[in-house]
Amino acid sequence: MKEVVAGIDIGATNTVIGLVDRDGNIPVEKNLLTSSYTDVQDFVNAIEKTIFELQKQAGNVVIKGVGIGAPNGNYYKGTIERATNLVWKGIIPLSEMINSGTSLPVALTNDANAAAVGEMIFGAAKGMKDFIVLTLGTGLGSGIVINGQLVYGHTGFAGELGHIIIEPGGRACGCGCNGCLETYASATGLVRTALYLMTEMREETPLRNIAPSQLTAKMVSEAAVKKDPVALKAFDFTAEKLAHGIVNAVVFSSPQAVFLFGGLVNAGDLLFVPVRKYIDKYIMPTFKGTFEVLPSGIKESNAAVLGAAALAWNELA
Amino acid sequence: MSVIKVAAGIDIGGTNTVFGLVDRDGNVIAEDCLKTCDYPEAEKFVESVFNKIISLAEEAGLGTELAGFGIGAPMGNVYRGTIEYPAGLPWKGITPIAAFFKKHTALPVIITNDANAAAIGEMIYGGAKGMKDFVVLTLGTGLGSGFVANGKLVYGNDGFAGELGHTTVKPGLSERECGCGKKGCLETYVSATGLKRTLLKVMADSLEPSILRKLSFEEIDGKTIYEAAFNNDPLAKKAFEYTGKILGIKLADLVAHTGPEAIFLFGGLAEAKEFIFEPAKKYMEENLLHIYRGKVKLLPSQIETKNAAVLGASSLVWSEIEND
Repeated sequence: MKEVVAGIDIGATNTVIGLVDRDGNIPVEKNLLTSSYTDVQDFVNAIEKTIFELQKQAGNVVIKGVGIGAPNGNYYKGTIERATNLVWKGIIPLSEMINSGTSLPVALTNDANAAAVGEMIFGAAKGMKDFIVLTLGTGLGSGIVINGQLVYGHTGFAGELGHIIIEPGGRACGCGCNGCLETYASATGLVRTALYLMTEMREETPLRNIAPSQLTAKMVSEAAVKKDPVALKAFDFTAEKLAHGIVNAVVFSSPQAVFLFGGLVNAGDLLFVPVRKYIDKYIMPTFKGTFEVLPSGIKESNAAVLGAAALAWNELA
Repeated sequence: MSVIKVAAGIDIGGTNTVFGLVDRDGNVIAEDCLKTCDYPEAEKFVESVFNKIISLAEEAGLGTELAGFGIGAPMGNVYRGTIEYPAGLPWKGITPIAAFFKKHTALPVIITNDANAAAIGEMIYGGAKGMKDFVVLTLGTGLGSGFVANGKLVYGNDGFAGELGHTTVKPGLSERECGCGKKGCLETYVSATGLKRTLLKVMADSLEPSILRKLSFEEIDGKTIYEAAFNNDPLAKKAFEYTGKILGIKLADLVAHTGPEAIFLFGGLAEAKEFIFEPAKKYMEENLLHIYRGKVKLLPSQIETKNAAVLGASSLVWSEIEND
């Protein structure tokens, strides 16, 4: 009998459930449409049913536990609390609900924390004790590992580097504050910066022919690859803000590495070269050269499920 | 039979040159145009314009008498009668436009830039009749200005005075690139293009929904932003508020230079009415030295937009004749 855990990634649109072994292999996986379950109990029932279906499908496996990555997931309480883009409002005791139906141990946290544990168990942070993972997607999520343990803080919500204020009075953030790092250093932030630079720069760019609501980070990346001056400067500007965020985080926890994960990381050198340049420029001398900025070692397509599964394995260890 | 005196007003633009015959009251009696870019040689251009104007005068009948030629052109120099290093015209370097006209006529030929012509137009035909100290700002693609002090247009030492559009907003702090090669010029903020640039900045800063997010930078113009503001679009209103604020603060500076009785706003942006006038007035008053407060009128131009350029150019002739 092979030991596996169920890794569950809950997103606003889709929920992905996969069985994952200790080496990070995902033999079976299935999607549920999150938004179609207006009643959370129906959602829990569907998850339980899916887990056992997957077990049957995989054959000869024993499920040891369940790991969940979810927006606003609280590790201590096993709850999802006031997640703005999920259909269920208020506080949802998800771990307890799944545990009562399956009798399996359940661990839950937010997706960025799960990504950090995933990096530690399956990815490029294997063997590291102090590191940070930044997930650069629509927003900026982060998981901070200190002395081999994920930092959950007093409330269970620690490690929200996307909401450190990098520009007081700056861009409006979805959280209600202004100037949060994620309004600059994220896929959405890159797009906002491209718009902003079009107001400063006079150079011609095909980006001026695209409606702001249609403009994506991918388009900006593609333009940057073609040496579009506005797109290149947008990457440089984004990298500078991200570097500010990283140097601020480094003075807190002095990590061995900072891993960047998510869509923006696919831009490769367009992002990493200026990020490293600005880190060198802004870092306190004590920390200069003491850490690396690296791409995540987890494949993007599996990352969320692997992260959630890693959380479960980490509990069982 | 009484003779009606008319002045020829010629507005030279990058694409079209429009010209017409205008009487002393500002009635455009006849009008025609040609494509500027069809004339790589300025001398041929002048010949065509001159001949067409003579034809217009002949068609208008025996009762009209031509009093002179007034020309509004980018980088027009009143002292030398030249157009000097214009961007967007087919003739490079220095072109002696007035001298080319003088080969055909002994009548007065006066040339200056379009914003200066607009200021004289305002004085001769428009809202500045009888005023001695006022300023006209033309808010189009860029920002032009004409200063009248003690009844005379201020041309300065070299003929190019009154370029308020290229004074700097937030010196050393603005990164907005201007067509002139500098950064942070007033016209990169206060013009139809400046309003567009500000709108994008506001979009980048804000999360509020806006109908304008569905239009690309190239599709947006001053009119779409005005219509959105009129329909209470929050981003369009913010863009106007910011544009008006920058303008108002600069107007307070301007007043400290020449102490005008009135400032006239002309052009597309001025047609946005309260969206531009209210913040401009508010921030001007807030930033005025106390001795000027409540004494400077901020008014829309009284020159009809349709014929404004030709009217402005023609007014140069009346101003020249009547000052002598």
